[in-house]
Amino acid sequence: MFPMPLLSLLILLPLAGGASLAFCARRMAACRVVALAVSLLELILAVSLLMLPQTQAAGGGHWLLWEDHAWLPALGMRYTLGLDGVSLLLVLLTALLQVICVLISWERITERPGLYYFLLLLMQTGVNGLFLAQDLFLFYLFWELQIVPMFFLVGIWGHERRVQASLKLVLFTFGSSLLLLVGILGLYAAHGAQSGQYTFSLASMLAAPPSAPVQFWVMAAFLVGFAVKVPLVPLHTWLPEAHTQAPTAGSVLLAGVLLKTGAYAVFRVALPLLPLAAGGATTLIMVLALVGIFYAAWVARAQEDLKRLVAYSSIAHLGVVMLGLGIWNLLSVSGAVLQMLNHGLSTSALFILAGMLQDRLGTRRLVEMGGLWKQMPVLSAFFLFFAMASLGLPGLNNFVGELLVLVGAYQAHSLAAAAGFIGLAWGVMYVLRMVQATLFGPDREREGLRDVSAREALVLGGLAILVLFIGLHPGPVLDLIEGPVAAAVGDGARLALATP
Amino acid sequence: MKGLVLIMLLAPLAGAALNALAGSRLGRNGVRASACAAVLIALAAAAGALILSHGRIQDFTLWSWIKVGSFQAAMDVHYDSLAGLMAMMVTFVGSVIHLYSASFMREDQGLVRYYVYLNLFTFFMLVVTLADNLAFLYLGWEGMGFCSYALIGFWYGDNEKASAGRKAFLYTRIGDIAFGVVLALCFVWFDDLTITGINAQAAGLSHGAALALGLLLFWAAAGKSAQLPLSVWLPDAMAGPSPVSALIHAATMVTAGVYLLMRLFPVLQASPEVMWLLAAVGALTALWAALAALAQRDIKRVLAYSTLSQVGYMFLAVGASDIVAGMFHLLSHAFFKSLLFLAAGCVIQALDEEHDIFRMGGLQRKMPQVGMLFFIGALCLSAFPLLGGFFSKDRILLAAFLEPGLSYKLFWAAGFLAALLTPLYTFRAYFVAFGPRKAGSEVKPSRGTPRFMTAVLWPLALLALMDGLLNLPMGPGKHWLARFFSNVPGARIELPASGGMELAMALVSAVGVLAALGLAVWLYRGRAAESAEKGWRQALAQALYLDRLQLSLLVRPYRAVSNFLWREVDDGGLDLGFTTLAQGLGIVSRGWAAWSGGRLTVYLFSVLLALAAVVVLLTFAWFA
Amino acid sequence: MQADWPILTPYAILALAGGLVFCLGGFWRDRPAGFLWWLALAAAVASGLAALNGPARGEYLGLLDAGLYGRLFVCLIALLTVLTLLLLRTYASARDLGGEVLYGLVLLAALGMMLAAAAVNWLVFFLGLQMLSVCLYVLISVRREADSSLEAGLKYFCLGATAGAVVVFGIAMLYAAGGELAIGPGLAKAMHSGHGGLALLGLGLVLVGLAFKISLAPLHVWTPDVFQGAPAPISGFLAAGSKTAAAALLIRLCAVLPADLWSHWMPALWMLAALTMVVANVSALREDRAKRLLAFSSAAQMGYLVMALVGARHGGLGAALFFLAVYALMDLGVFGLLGVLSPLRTDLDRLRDMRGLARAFPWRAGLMVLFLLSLAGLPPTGGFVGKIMLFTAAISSGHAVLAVLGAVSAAAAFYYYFKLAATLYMEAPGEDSPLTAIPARPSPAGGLALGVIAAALLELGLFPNWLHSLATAALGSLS
Repeated sequence: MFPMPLLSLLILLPLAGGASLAFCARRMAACRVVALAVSLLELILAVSLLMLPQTQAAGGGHWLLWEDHAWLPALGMRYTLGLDGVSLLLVLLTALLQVICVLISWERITERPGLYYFLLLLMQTGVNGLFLAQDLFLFYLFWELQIVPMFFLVGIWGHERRVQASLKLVLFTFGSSLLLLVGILGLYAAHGAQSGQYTFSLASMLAAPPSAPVQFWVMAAFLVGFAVKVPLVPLHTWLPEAHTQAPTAGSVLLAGVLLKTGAYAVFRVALPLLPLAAGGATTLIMVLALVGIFYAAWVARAQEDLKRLVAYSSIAHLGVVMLGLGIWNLLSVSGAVLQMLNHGLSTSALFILAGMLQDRLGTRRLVEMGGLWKQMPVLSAFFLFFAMASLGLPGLNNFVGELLVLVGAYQAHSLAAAAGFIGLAWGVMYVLRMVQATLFGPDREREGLRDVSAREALVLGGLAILVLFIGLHPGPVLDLIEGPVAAAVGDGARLALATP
Repeated sequence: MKGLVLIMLLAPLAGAALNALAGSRLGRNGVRASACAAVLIALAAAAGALILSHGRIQDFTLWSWIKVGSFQAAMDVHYDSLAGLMAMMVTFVGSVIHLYSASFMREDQGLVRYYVYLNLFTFFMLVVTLADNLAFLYLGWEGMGFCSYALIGFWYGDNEKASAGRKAFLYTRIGDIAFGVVLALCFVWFDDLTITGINAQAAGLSHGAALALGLLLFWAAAGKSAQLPLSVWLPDAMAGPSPVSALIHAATMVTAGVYLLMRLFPVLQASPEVMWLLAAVGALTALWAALAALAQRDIKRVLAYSTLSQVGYMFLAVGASDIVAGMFHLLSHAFFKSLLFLAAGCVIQALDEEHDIFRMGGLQRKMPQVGMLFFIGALCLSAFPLLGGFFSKDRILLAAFLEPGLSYKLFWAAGFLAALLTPLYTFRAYFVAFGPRKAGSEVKPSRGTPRFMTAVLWPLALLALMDGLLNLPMGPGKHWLARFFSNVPGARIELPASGGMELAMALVSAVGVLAALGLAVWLYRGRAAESAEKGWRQALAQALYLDRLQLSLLVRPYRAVSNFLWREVDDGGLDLGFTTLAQGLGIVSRGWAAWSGGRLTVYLFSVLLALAAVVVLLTFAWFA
Repeated sequence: MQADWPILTPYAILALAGGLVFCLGGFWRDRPAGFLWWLALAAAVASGLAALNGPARGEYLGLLDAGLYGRLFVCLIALLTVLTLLLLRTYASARDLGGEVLYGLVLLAALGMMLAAAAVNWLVFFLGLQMLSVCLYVLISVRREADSSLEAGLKYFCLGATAGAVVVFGIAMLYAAGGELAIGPGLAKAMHSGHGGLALLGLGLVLVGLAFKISLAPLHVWTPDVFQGAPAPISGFLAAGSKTAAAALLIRLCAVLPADLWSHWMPALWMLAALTMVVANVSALREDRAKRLLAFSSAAQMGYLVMALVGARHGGLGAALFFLAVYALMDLGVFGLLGVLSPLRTDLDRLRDMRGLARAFPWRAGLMVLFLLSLAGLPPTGGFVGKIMLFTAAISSGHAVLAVLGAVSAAAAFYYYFKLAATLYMEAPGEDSPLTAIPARPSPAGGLALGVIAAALLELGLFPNWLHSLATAALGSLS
C-alpha cells in the first residue's frame, strides 16, 4: 500500500484543476494555461506510476496500487480503486490525449473557455475513475459521469447539427447504461442472495459467480450497455453523427478514450464476472465484431465527409479490438488491449488532422478538398503517415495489434481469423480513397493556406513518434499488460471450461 | 558479418530519414549525394558480405520485435547464397538507378520526396531479401508496397497517376491477405515463423496443410509479381517516373514474389498440385503478356508486359522445381530490363513525356548512345543466342520440358511460343521508335540527354550482355551459379538431361529466336504507323480485356455495395429506424399529454377511473 | 401525561406563529410584509429546531408519532418551509404578494404537512391533509390578477375535495373493519377480526387519495395545470411539501401493514408505479413548457419511489425515505430556481424563453443543470444515489420487470431533461426573449436557499451514508 492515495489523486486532480478555472472563467489565456498545467501535471503523475515497483499491492493479484474505503456499507458499496497494467495503460493514454486536446484547442476555443476546459478535465476525472474502479457501483458512477461533459462539449462547441448530435449521443449512451444498471443490480442481488453478503466488489463477485440463467440475463444487459459504447454494429448510429459534429478535441476524446471504456468494460467486467454466459457472449461479440469490420469499412468508403469517414473507420478498428476480446486467448486479448492504445493514437491523429483541414478549408467535404500536398507538404506528410498507420502498415503501431489479434484468432477460430485478414484489405479501400481525395489531385488555387504551426507540429510529431515506437518496439507495452491479461484469460480458461 | 548486414540495411534507411527530416535544408545536391551515398554504401556492404560469407549460411537476430507468450516475431536474418546474390543485385541496380535519377530528376520539384521513397524502398527490398522471420519479411513486403504506391503516384497532381498508384497498392494488398494468413498458419502449425524453421518442418506437413500453405504462398507471390489473375496493376504502374519503373516494377519488387517462393521452396515442393499451378500460371502469364505486348503503343507498357511475361518464366521455373534457373533468369532479367526502362526513360524525357512509339522514330540517329543501349537490352530480352537472357530462358524451358506429364509439355509449348513472340514485340518497339524512317516522319528531341545518364547505363549493359557466363551449360565455369546455390534447399545443380538433348533444345530455341527476329525486321523496320486498333489488335492492346473484366466484376459492384450500405442500410435503415421509433414515441407523448389538457371533467373522470380500477384490482387480489 | 406536552412544541410554534401572522397582518394598518416574513421564517426555524432536539418518545396520546420517524419528517418539512420562505422573499415582495395571507398560509400548510406526516391516527392524518390542502388552494391562486393562477387553484380544490372524500370513506371503512382509528393497531385488529377484505378496500380508497396527492398515474393529470398556474416557489412547496407529507403516510403504511394484507395490497402499488413511470415520463417528452414538464417529471419521480415501496420488504423503505428527502430538495430547488429566474409579469415557463440563458446567467444555469442531473438520476448528485437505491430495492425484491420498465422510462426521461439543458446552453435567444427582464442577480435570500439545496444535493451524492442510516433507524422506530 502506498502512503499517498495516488489513485484518488489521479481522479481528483483534474476535477480540482477544472474547478479552479471558475476564477478565470472568462479569460481565455488564463484558462488554457491552467488547463495545460493541470493536464501536464496529470500526465507526469501517470508516467511516474510507470516507475512503480511491480510488486503486488494490497488486494492481491496483479495490482500495482490499491485503495479501499467504506462508502455506503448498508448496501455494500465501497470506494475501491485498483491499478494494474491495463488500467495504467489506458490512464496514460487518457492523460496524453488530454494534453493534446488542450493544445489543439489552444486558439480554436474562444467562447466560454472556462466552461470548455472544465468539461475537458471533468471528463478525464470520469474516465480515470472508470478505469480504476474495482467496485461495480463506483464503476457505474463514473460510467455515467463521463458522458455528461461530452454532451456539452459536442452540443456547445460543435458544428452545424450539434444539438441533435449531442442529444442522440446522450439518449443512446444513457439509455443503454440504464439497462447496464439493471444488469449490475441483478448481479448484485443474485450474488448477495447466493453468498449472503450483499456487495458490489468486483473481487468477491469474481470469486462467486451466480447461477447460469441469472448470468444469461445479466450478460444480455451488459452487452447492450457496452455494445452501444464500443460501438458494435448495429448500435453504432449515434457515433458518426457525434464525431462529425463534435469539436476536434471532442472527437479526439470520444474516439481515443470514451469508446475504449466499452471495450475495457467487456474485458474487465462482462466476461470475467459471468463465466457461464461468456461462451455465448464471446461468439456473439466475435460475429458482431467481424460484421462491424466489414460493414464499417464498406460504409466508410462511401462517405463524402472526411470526419464521418474517419468515424466509420474507427468503428472498424474497434471491431478488431472486439474480435480480439471475443476470441479471448492470451495473444488476441493482448492484441486487443494494445489495439485500444493504438486506435487511441492513430485515429485521434486522423481526427486532429481532419479538424485542421476543416479549420483551414472551412469544409469537411472530400469533393472540396484535393491537391493539398502542394500547399501543405508537412501536414500532408503527417496525414499520409497516420493513414498508413491506420491501415496497418508493418512497422507502425496498428500492425502489431492486428497481427496479435488475428494470429490469436487463428488458434481458436481459423475462419474468423481469415475473415479478419480479409477485413484488413477492406480497410485499404477507404484509407486510400481518403488520402487521394484530400492530398492528391490537381492543385486548386487556394489563398492563405498555412502549413502546420509549431504547436500543431509538436502534437502530430509526438503522436507520430509514439506510433513508430509501438510499431517497432512494442515490448514495453506488452510487458506492461501481460500480467493482467494473462490473469483475465486465466479466468477465461475457467470460462472456456464452463462453457458447454 | 552481422555488422555488414546491419550497414547494408541501415544505410538506405538512414539516407531516407536524413532526407525526410532535413532534406529541405540540405539543398538539391546534398539530397542527391546523401541518397546515392547511402545506396553505394549498401552496395559495398553487400559485396563485402558476399565475399566474406563465401557460401556459408549465417543466421542471426538483429532486434527482438514482438513477443507475447510463445509468439515471437524477431527481426532475424537468414543469409545464404540466394540472399547474398539477391542483395548484391538489388544494391547494384539500386545504385545505378539512384545515380541515373540524380540527373533524370534534375528539374523536378519533389526531389527530396523522390529520394526519400527510393532509399526507403531499397531498405525494404533488402529486408525482404535477407529476412528470416516471416513477420520481418512482411515488414519489408508491405513497405515495398507502400513505396511503390507513393512512387507510382509520385506526380500526384495528375489524378490518373495517383489512381494508378492506388490500384497497385490495392492489388498487392489483396495478395498480402494470403501472406498474413500464412503467418498465422505457420505460427499455429509450426510454432515458428522463421523460414529456416518452416523449411525444416516442411517435410512433415500433411498433404492438405502443404496444399493450403502452397496456395496461399502462390496467392501472395502472384500479388507482388503481378501474375494472373492479379496482373492488371503493373501496366498502369508505368505512370511512375521511368527509373522507378526500372527499379521497382522490373528489377526488384516484382521479382520479390518469385524470390519468396524460392526462399520457401521446400514448402511448395511438399505439394505437387501447387507446383503444377505455379508452372501453369507462369506459362499462361508469359504467353498472355507476350501477346498483349505485341499491340501496345506506349513504349513503357510494352516493357511492362514484357516484364510480366519474363516473371511468368520465373514462375514456370519454380513450378518446374528448378529454382536455379529461376534465380538465373531473375538476375539477367533485372539487368536487361532495367537497362531497357532507363533507356526508354531517356527517350521519353528527351521528347518531353512522349510515350507513343509511333510518334517517335529515327531516334537511333538522333540519340545513338541511347539507341545502342536499348538495342543491347532488346537483344538480351529476346534471348539472342549466347547473350544474357538466352541461357537462363533456355534452362527454364528445358526444366519445364523435362518435368513428367503432358501438362508440363504444354507449359513448355506455351513458354516456347512466348519466347518466339518476345523478339517480335521487343524489336517492334525498337524499330518503330529508333529505326530509320522516311524523312519528315521522324521526330527531333526537344532537349538533349545528359551524358551522365547514359554513362551510368553502360555497366548495366555490360552485365546484361555477360551474365550468361554465370551459369554456362558447358565449358569452363560450367554451372557456377548452380553450384554456388548448392546450400539453398531444393536447388538442383544439373538437370537430368543428356548433353545432346540440351544442345538440341538450345539449337531449337536459338533458331526460333533468330527466325522471329528476322520476321520482326521484315515486319517493323521503317514502319511509321499501324492500322487502327480494332479486332484482334484491340483485344491484344486491351490485354484481352482482363482489366475491364475485373473492373466490372469486382470494382463496380464493390462501390455499388458500399453506397447501398451507407445510403440504404446505415442512413436509410438503422438510423431511420431509431428516428422513427423516437417520433412514434413523440406521437404517443402528444396523446398522453393531451390527457391533462385542462378539462376538469376529464380529471374528475380519471379520479373515478382510478378508484374503480383500484377497487376491482384489490377485490380480485383478495378473493383470487 | 404532563411530560408529554413538549412533543407538541414544533406544531404549536407553527400554529401560534401562523395565527400571529394573520392577526398582525389583519390589524396593522400598513401591512409590514418584511416583518411578517421574518416572523414566519423564525417560526419555521424554531419548530424545526424544536423537533430536532425535542424528546424522543414513542407516541403522543396515540395521535402523533414522536419517534425518530415522525421527527425526521417534521424536521424535513420545517427545512422545506424555511427554504420556501427564503425563495418567496424577493419573489413575493417584487410582485407585492407578500403579506399575512402568503406567509401565514405557508406556516399553516406546513403545520398540516407535519400533522399528516407524523400522524399515527387516521383522524389526525385527515386533519393534517385537509389543513394543508385548504391552505394550498389559496396559496396556489395567491396571484389574484392571474387567471391561470385562479384556475389552477379552483381545479386543485375540486379534485382535492373529491380525493379528500374518498380518503374519508376509506378511513371509515378501516374504522369499521378494525374498530380503531389508530393506524397500526387498527389494521392488525382488522386482520384478527377477519375483516381483512373490508380493511383492504379501505386501504385501497386511502391509496387512491394518497395517489392523488403524490400524483400517481392516472391521478397525475391535474399536476401540470396546477404547477403551471401556481407561482413557481409555491409549485415547489406543493411538489416538495404536500407530496412528502402524503408519501410519509404511504411509507408508514407499507411498514406497519400486516404481511397478508400487504401481499394483497402490493399489486395495486405495482400497477400504479408501472403506470406512473411510463405515462408521466412519456407525456413529458414533447412538453415545451418548463413548469408542465417538471410537473410530469415530479410525477414520474413519485413513480420510482412507489417502485421501491413494492420492494418494501427488501430495504425498499429506507431507499424510499432517502429518495423522498432528495426528491423534495431537488424539486423545490428547480421550481425555486424558475422563480428566481422569472421576470415580473409571468413566470419563466416557455422553453423558447430560456434559450441562451446560460450565456447570460452562467451560475444559475449551472445550478439548473445540477438540479436536472439530480432529477435525471445522474452523478454526482443525491438523485443518482437515491435512484440507485430505488432500483436496487426493486430488483432485490425480485421485481425485475418493474425495474426494467422503470429503466426504459427513465431512459426516455433523459430526453426531456437534456432537451432543457440544451435549450439553456446550446440555443441562441430569440428576438422576443425575456432575458432582459430577468433580475441580473438573484436575491440574497433566494440565492442562499438555492445554494443550500445545491450543496445538500451534492453532499448527498457524495456522502449519502448518514442519511441512509438515519432513514433506516427511523424505520426501525416504526415497528
